[in-house]
Amino acid sequence: MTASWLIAVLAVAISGTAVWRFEPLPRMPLPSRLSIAFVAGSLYVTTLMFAASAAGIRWSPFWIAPLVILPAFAVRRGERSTADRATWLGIGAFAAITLYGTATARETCADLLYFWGPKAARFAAARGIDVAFLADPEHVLMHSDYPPLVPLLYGWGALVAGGFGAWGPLLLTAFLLAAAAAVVHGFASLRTGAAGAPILLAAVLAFTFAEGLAAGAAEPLLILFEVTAISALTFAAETPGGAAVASIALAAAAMTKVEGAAFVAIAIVAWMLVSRRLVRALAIALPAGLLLAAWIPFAAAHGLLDSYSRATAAQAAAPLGTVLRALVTTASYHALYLPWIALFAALAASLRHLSHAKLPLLAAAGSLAAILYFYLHPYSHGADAVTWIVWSAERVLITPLALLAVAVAAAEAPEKRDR
Amino acid sequence: MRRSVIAVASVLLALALAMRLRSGGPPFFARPATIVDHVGPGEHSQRAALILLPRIASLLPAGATVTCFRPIDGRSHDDGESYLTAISMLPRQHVRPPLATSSNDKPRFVVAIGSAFVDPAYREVSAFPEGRLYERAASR
Repeated sequence: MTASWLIAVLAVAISGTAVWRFEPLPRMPLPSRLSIAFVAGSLYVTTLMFAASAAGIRWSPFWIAPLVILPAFAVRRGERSTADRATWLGIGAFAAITLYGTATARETCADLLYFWGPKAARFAAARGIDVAFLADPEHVLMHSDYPPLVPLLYGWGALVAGGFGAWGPLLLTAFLLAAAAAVVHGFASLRTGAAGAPILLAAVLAFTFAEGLAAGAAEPLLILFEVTAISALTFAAETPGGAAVASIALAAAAMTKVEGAAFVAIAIVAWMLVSRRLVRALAIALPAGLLLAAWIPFAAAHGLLDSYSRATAAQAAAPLGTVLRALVTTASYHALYLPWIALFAALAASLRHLSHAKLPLLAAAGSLAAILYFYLHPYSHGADAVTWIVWSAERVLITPLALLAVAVAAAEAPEKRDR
Repeated sequence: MRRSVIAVASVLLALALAMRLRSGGPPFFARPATIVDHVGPGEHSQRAALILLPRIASLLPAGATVTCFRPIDGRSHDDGESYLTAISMLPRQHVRPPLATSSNDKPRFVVAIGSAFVDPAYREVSAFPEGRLYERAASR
């Protein structure tokens, strides 16, 4: 079951190969293009499944699979790109260690057991988004209106595999880590050598996924989407492929976690400040807005509103000092703040070209500010701020860390310009 | 300089990662029984449930109402973790919150993790090393 689940989930990349026809993607290394195809395919397949549920059409692999394969006919083959063996070996090493960690049950996130897994299993069994299950008052802990991308993607795998097993999402984590690093390498290689930064990103993700027990949860997918969006905007925003990939990745982030919607706003505002391109920025953000504009009313129509309705409710803020102390303590990752020190040291060694990293640095700062805001105003459940920080901050803080790694990649000396 | 910093940082992170993975304890190269076998010091609160529930699933009729909890002094309580784990592991059944055993609409089955569940409305039907299965006495 695990093998067929993994194959089904990874196979969504087939549909995502359609984006390869847009410049500058054909010039990227194959692993980078495959990773971007997975991002695009994840959004495409889960949007198909959501639309089917909204229209009352039952899921079946027999009609979904052909639609997964169909976009691949638009694919354009890539050009030969220079092999960068050291980078791939470095990324591969950290992915292999993560594979060991997840396969030996050392990195499992409890949320896989309590939320993502149950939703995926129920959705697959119901051949659609099981609104009766989500709306049942006894299932109030299921976060009924949470964005559906993760349970839909996991549910697609369960549909093909004939059931849901938790090992699949755990083993997928290593691929998602490698994919995030591959995407950064692919975009950065268009402009710079940037061989070390993707390895550093892989190292940071491998450690924080393990320390934060993120395997199987939404964070590895969210990080992949966020890193893809910011890399596309940093290195290739003025190209058709860069804008398309950024748009797709932002939409995927918005449909993965509630924090994803905040990230879309941060990324777009940051890009507007850097590029001064208001209309293009809004166009890039449009798919994310449209999908959320479809999901929230769907949730409302089925009596599922929970997190999104609480977000608009007036709430008393938690004490700033208490929240800051808890956040700063958690941010150490029980390793003397090593991920932060590593990234800031790399940036300090890149001061000469730091101006190229304005966008990822702004996005990292914005995400930190958003994290602080959310912990000061707990929106999704009644837990006090410190408890919520202890439960989640090690995973949530991976976003700004990953964006800092993209900044390290951007702050490399330019070797050639993308056209 | 930049490449040296990145190299040193990556090596230090690799060492920290190795130490973190090692802290999950032995065995280091054996297939774990559950997905939570090595997530931290001590046994995870849901390990017993993850071993027990797949065995019990085959004993439960499809659509049957069931709840799951770790009894305290033989009684049910608001054991949210076991409840959510059961929802995940029993997709063919209707899993209800633990405190439903005190309601007028009791679930047909109770899965008690660890220690015994004591309630005259239920009788034990199966026992395993990790826990017991009970059925409502009036169900037969």
